[in-house]
Amino acid sequence: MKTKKFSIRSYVKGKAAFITIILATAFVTIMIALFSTKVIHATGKSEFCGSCHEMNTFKKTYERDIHGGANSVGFKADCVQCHLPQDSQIDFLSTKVVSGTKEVITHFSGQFSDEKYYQNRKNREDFVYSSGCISCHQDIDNGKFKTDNQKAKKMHTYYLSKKGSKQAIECVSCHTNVGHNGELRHKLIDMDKYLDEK
Amino acid sequence: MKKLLIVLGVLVIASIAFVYEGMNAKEQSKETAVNMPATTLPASKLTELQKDYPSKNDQHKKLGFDCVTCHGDFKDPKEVLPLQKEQCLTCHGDYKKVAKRTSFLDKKEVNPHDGFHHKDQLDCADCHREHKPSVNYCANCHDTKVWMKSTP
Ligand code: HEC
Ligand code: HEC
Ligand code: HEC
Ligand code: HEC
Ligand code: HEC
Ligand code: HEC
Ligand code: HEC
Repeated sequence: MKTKKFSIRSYVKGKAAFITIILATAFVTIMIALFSTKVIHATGKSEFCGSCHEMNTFKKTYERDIHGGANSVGFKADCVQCHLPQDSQIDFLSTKVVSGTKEVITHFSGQFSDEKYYQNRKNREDFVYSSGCISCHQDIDNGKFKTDNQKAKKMHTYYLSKKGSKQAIECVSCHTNVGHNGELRHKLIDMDKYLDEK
Repeated sequence: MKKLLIVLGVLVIASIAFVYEGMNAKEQSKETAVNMPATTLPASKLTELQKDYPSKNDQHKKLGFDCVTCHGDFKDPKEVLPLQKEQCLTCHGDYKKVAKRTSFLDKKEVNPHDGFHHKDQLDCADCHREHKPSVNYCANCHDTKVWMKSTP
């Protein structure tokens, strides 16, 4: 063992170089693993996200939603299709690594609480990405959407008229109830603290 | 040795950039050529009116609605009427949908949108105001502070 290690070190000359190689290999391996489609997919399925107990509420409410399979045609949107940007591969992966890591850290350090999620709901524009919605509902974004629903027509025209401007709004600014069947507030609320809320 | 340090440096920078990107990934939506239908009053005048009729509803304010989005087209603000519940419900669905949002208050039958006596009979503006502070209609007769928080 010792001789083997020694021979590697003498080969690359010096301790620093040895550490460098180890780090570089680790980094490259992680990158390859992350970029490999299989892992990207496996860790993007609702089963994976829902496998942590934190996400139990989210998975259950999701399953009662149109987007979670509660529809006649049996389609399902994956968690990541709404919760990660779908506009470019780099955005998708980097956001995935960062927010996934955050979730893992909160999981193992036990910092998670329903209350935090509850409070954070008002920031929904930051964790639900319009590009995700648009990847399926393309017609709404490109203005080709045909419908007899006057409310939808008017409000989506409004959305498009603001898009890209300083006062841009997102799909979830209006559609607060998609994905989890509008049940999140109900499920996460702590009735003991409720009356102290402003 | 030097080469390796350079490689390491590049990798470190790459990974920092990657993580930074992940923390700051904001969508870049492109402006569109779509506009809302023209109104009798020019857009600049409508913006000006927002000073006289400010929105007290944080959510509506965030969405940046113009007067006409809620009131329809008009020539003179004096002719504007307060909204009926039907008009609120063009965006908020129906009373059932609204009641579902506060259904955690159902247990004590104090859901403001589906309560003990009034059920779905009340006008939204009996409680929710847009340009004045909101009130709670139930408070005319009950101490509502033990039931529900203040009206948004
Ligand atoms: C159709 C899009 C969609 C899908 C699919 C979806 N969500 Fe959501 N999710 C949302 C929306 C919209 C909200 C904000 C809801 C609210 O404000 O009440 C949300 C909120 C959340 C939150 C709360 C975040 C916070 O800080 O308050 C979590 C956690 C979450 N979703 C996890 C999941 C998981 C896990 C899945 C897959 C099982 C999933 N979501 C699938 C749209 C979606
Ligand atoms: C995986 C593709 C997919 C994604 C991602 C997706 N949707 Fe949908 N959405 C659908 C399908 C399919 C339907 C069902 C259409 C139907 O039943 O006619 C639907 C239905 C809807 C409806 C009508 C549902 C109802 O309750 O009547 C709304 C509103 C909606 N989606 C908004 C959104 C928003 C907002 C997002 C992003 C947060 C989103 N969708 C993301 C595929 C998707
Ligand atoms: C300004 C508010 C607003 C925004 C922003 C908005 N919508 Fe909607 N959307 C509505 C309203 C209102 C309806 C009609 C709901 C109803 O009929 O009760 C609707 C209906 C829908 C429907 C169902 C269509 C139908 O025919 O019933 C889908 C799907 C949808 N929206 C997707 C989206 C997507 C995707 C985005 C983001 C690109 C988006 N919406 C942004 C307000 C909005
Ligand atoms: C989100 C919808 C909404 C928007 C946007 C809005 N209003 Fe109103 N407006 C209301 C409601 C609801 C009432 C009745 C309750 C109240 O007075 O707050 C009202 C009442 C009024 C009244 C008083 C009517 C009366 O007889 O008491 C006037 C005048 C008025 N609005 C003008 C405006 C003008 C001007 C703008 C644009 C700067 C505007 N509103 C934007 C919802 C809205
Ligand atoms: C032009 C569409 C539109 C009209 C008209 C409208 N709203 Fe809204 N309102 C919205 C949207 C979009 C939101 C933000 C998403 C949500 O919470 O549903 C919102 C949010 C709210 C909220 C805040 C919810 C919160 O979480 O704090 C209240 C209360 C409300 N509306 C009441 C009313 C009442 C009462 C009326 C009628 C006087 C009305 N709205 C008319 C679109 C509208
Ligand atoms: C009796 C008074 C009363 C009437 C009438 C009333 N509301 Fe409310 N509403 C409330 C109170 C109080 C809350 C706050 C409850 C809470 O968030 O805990 C509320 C909350 C809301 C919310 C936000 C719910 C959420 O998800 O946070 C919306 C949207 C809303 N009301 C819309 C309406 C609409 C639309 C109407 C008319 C159809 C209406 N309300 C009629 C008292 C009322
Ligand atoms: C005009 C005055 C008045 C208004 C306004 C009013 N109430 Fe009442 N309420 C009463 C009276 C009087 C009783 C007692 C009646 C009884 O016990 O049969 C009562 C009883 C109740 C009870 C049953 C209490 C118990 O101890 O069993 C509930 C719940 C209730 N009201 C909810 C509401 C809600 C929610 C609102 C607002 C949407 C409201 N009330 C508005 C007068 C009012």
